[in-house]
Amino acid sequence: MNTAARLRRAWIPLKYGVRSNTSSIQFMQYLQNLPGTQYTKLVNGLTIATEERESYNSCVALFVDAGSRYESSFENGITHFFEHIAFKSTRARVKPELEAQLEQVGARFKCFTTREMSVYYVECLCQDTPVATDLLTDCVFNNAFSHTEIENQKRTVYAEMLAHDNNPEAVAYDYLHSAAFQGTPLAATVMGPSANLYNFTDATICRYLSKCFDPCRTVLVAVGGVKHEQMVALANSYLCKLEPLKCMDIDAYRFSGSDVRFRDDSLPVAHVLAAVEAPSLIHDDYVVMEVARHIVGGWDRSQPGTAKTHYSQVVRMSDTFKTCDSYKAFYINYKDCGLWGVHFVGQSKQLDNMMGIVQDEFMYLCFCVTDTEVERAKNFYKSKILSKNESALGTCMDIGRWTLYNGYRPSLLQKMKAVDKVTVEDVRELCEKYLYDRCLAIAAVGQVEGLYDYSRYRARMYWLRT
Amino acid sequence: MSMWATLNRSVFKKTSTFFLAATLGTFFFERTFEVASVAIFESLNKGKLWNDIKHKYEH
Amino acid sequence: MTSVARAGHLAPYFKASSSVVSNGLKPTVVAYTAPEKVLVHPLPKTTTVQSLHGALPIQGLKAVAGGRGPSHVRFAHTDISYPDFTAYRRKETQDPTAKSSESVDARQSFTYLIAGAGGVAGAYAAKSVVTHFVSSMAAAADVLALAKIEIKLSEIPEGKSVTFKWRGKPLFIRHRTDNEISTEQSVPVESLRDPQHDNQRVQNPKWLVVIGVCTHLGCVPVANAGDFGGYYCPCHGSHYDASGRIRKGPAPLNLEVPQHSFVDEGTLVVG
Repeated sequence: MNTAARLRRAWIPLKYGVRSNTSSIQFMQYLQNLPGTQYTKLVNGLTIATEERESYNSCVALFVDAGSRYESSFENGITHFFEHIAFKSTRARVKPELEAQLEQVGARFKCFTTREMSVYYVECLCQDTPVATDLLTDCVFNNAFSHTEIENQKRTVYAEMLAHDNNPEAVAYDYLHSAAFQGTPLAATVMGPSANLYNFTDATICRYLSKCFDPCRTVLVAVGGVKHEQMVALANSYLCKLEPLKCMDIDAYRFSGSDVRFRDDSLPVAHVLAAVEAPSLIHDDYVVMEVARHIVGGWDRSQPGTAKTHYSQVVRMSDTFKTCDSYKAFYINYKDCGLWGVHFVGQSKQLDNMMGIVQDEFMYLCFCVTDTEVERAKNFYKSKILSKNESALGTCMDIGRWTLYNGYRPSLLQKMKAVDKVTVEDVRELCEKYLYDRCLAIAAVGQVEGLYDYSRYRARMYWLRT
Repeated sequence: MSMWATLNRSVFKKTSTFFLAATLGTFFFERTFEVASVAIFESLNKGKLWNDIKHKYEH
Repeated sequence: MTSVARAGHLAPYFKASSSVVSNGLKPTVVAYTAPEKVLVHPLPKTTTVQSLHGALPIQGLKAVAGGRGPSHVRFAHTDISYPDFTAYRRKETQDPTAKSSESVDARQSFTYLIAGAGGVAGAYAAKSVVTHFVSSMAAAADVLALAKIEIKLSEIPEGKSVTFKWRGKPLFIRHRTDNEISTEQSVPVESLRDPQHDNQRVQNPKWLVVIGVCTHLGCVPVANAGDFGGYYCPCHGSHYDASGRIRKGPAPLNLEVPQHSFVDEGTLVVG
């Protein structure tokens, strides 16, 4: 081959096995042919979103925009507490009857509460969907608030609090929120302080529900072998009695660069979280920051193979200098803000070194990240989206969360396209916007003596060489 | 005020531009400071300096 | 930074046992009402295990060892509330609903402006100090004052050569007549020992500025003497013309012309 062609080949780097922006035509067609999500809004404000699939199982979920964020300090923990009494007794069915019916359906009824939303869902067979929906809506919106139940559950919740305490990673994330969002409702923990258990009576719970469990803040999602009309009919029959209340809006947040450490040398390791403020779930920059997060990635010492030739310099450095046991980049997002950062676990003496490696990676993202890394991260992220949306449950969660915050959920095709559009310049520009010379929120739990001053880490968020 | 802040951000963000701005600022500051301080000195000592009484000795 | 406080932030919320009996109906009150008045008991005077354990919401959950009463009181991490740093915040972030990303540019620019101004002032101070000490090694003022000489040309009549002391050497300033000018300018350059045309030696033909040191062995020539109407060195008989060029005698070079300039019509600055 002549010199010109050879030079051209040397100048443009080869991409070994990393497919670039063009996904194959068949894949795009497949995505276009996927059944779309259908939305209906009832008169009382309730939104119903369904996605029909050719399957025999379905997942029905109730997403309520009520979490620890909307509780006052007096009520903190009440949404989580309500979870525990939700499936205990309703006004239509007393406890033994309800329990019998729940077991008879043969479905799994589950619930979880986060800072921003409360989700009650059931996975069942298609033919059981009406019954399951009936039970679900009855439990959530028709609760009996029985006094004995409440008192009994207080013991359970308290034990849960103590168990949560024994999980240093969960504690660290709680501390991160309480530090980063200090002074605002987002700082409150999901379970609330143990003393608040005194405050939970049927009157308080009832009042809180009437404040927050409002149809215009609720989404009923169904994914699986269910038809949209069927779900709308079900919703109309079970939920039309809900009156729309005045929707209150306490969406206040304020991110503060901060630092909190809980030193406990009896723990074998230290959990360190370092985060910056990041775009929310529905922000335009969200996709790019997710890609950036996957560039940083994660690793732990149990992964086979040699880390010395890993593509990520964080892994190579951590392995060479034995600075951490594991690390992973996280991106927690809410409807109006987010926390983007790295969580690592290590020994006290190596914490500062690891922070240095992590922050070098942050700066690298802002200025030197390459095409190949971005492509690899995009592929990673795309496969993650696809595998999450493979199951009815995953799709249900996705639809619910997006519909609650955004009004509609972008289809898989739109998501893939959005990821495809991300270029290396985008990553560099947005990382510079969110990471460069910005205040960190640091939370650390365990043997954290080796973690130095905050000002040291704040100073590493910029480079003097630029 | 916020426009002023975002404009300044374009100067202060990179260390190189910051340093350049500080260097240029030093030059202009030095010259201005000298002119200003000389003017103040001369105004405070009006009538006592050679320049003021020079005219009496020229012929 | 925050320090971990075990029970300092915990205000035991003791409430009377609930007196509201639920009748199972959803309350018809739709509007949000303020929470009930919370009875806050003051913290126990001593934070012993016994006094703290009374603050536990559930009495059954505590560790007992030795059978003599609770020895270990567990509170949760969630009981620790983050201290309030509002007093230390800047005005833009004091409001809990203020989004910090909106004011971050203004806040950082302010800080960097102060830092930049401090840097400018520091650079100026450093430069002043350094130049002060370095310039102490330079020439003293009296030496510098003698380095230049300013001469009023109106005081020198035509045809006369005046001598000044400059940098320790005699300086001849000659107000030349037109005759002398034309004579010197018409001298063939090739016939001179040190060939230089008159124009190369004077800026203004009316005024000749030369250093009065004979280039032979350093005596001072006498003005208006010699065979060529210029200067004559009595030591060894060197004759210079009205342009200071050597014509006859042992001297090898013309009289040196120092750097001079005519700042205005009547003033000559040499040096």
